[in-house]
Amino acid sequence: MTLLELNNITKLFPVRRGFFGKASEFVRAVDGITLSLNEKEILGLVGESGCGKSTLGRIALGLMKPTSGDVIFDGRDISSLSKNDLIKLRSRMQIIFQDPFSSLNPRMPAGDIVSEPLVIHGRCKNKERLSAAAALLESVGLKAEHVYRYPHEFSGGQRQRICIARAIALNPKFIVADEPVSALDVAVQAEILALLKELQNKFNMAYLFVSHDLRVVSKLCDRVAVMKSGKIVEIMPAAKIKEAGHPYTRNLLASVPIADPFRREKIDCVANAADVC
Amino acid sequence: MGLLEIKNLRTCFSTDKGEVPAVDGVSLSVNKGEVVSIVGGSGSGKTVLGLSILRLVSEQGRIADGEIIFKGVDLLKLPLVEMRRIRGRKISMIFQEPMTSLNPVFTIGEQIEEAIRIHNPKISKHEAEENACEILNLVGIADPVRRYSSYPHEFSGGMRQRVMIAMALSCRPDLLIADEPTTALDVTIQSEILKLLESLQAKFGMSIILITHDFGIVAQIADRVYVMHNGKVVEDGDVRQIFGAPKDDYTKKLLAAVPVL
Repeated sequence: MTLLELNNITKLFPVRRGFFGKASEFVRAVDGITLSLNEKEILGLVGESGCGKSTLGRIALGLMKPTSGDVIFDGRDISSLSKNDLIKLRSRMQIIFQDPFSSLNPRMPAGDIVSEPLVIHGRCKNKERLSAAAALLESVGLKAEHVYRYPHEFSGGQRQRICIARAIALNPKFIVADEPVSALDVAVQAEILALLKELQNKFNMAYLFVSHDLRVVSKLCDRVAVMKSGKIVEIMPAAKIKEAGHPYTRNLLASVPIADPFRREKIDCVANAADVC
Repeated sequence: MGLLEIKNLRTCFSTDKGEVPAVDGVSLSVNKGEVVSIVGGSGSGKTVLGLSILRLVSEQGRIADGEIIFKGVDLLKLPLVEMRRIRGRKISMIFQEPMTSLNPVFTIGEQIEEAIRIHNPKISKHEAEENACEILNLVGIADPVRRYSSYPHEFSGGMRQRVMIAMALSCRPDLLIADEPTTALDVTIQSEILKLLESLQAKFGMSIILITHDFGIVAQIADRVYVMHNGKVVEDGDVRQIFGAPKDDYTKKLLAAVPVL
């Protein structure tokens, strides 16, 4: 069943010339994208920096209004909702950001961070807050006694776990993961991806997984959409990514480092061949 | 005898809980014209090792023990004045973040020119300018004469990293230390930068120490590999040997973590 539908979304950003200059030109960050996401599906969104993939993620959550087009979540057009309804809906959609260092409040202990969504949405009383926080931290592989620790006492991977715990606190149906592993080293990256997959199975969530790394996307996602300059150039099952036909996707694939020194010479030949055509 | 020979290096940082060794008895060697990669997870001490070679460790840290022999001279015994002649001219370094390593209020050209003139005080301004343009051209920046007077914010991440490489190579060093040079960049730009480093290395015959956490990059460019974990080298060897038959558990774990298409 379809959970989220994006219909012909366009987002323009004004470009101002000079301090008092009027917006005379616009950048098309997202240019007429139509996309749908099923329940329990992981959709990867890949592209180079500046292609508009993060903007699209924010529009999908209603954090940013599209210039034109509709966002339909669970059968309701989110642009037509009142403020109160939108707040209610927000409990069912969450986001995880790229940088686990800047997306946690340094003055709040981990327990308060992960249980804050519960308090905001009135899902738990003050007495229960601590135990709820401990349970959440445990569900992402941290320990209950970590509730009193502050963000600076955690490593990058642990911080990303806190961000994930905060995102799943309200049992959302849909999470936008905006480059959640790009700031982490490969070993930690693999752990976080495994955690995301496990939680998705457990809570039946759908992810919009934004990334520039085809390797990560092909491992985690069901379908992959490739974006270039605000448009989707190709959308395909993740298992078929190697057979992608669009030249842009082929170029992305060719850039992925291959972890095999024995194949280095072969790759050079292929790269040269690609230059020729 | 290699170009660089590090013997039993220890770099410690003072913390509330006493001194903590970030680099703990590391020995490694780099031959002329070789690409050596230092691989490890975050916090394994690989960056501190790179900084130690140039004696650029921050104030809380100190190099406690060991020798760093570069072209037969122990860098740790050199007076600071002579160390300054090594930095930039013989050994230079590029960092992960091309966004923060450039000064936003000076033009690209001025910054490269500054690097050239500091290390060659006798060179004229005009000559330095010409050299700067030449090196910009070399790192693949189109129309270097016009780009000379651009500011860093007008450049994309990949172009800024090219500028950093230009600056690092402006004095034709014998050794380039590249600390996660492509981590902040997209895959397509990453592969371009790696190719650039490879071609420049072939052209100048310099040696490169490439610090990274990504074995995918290592496989593409390195000749020899040192794997670091908790400040120690746990395994080292030829790149084919490390990939073909890793011995250490940590190496195996890192290799297994590399996502494949």
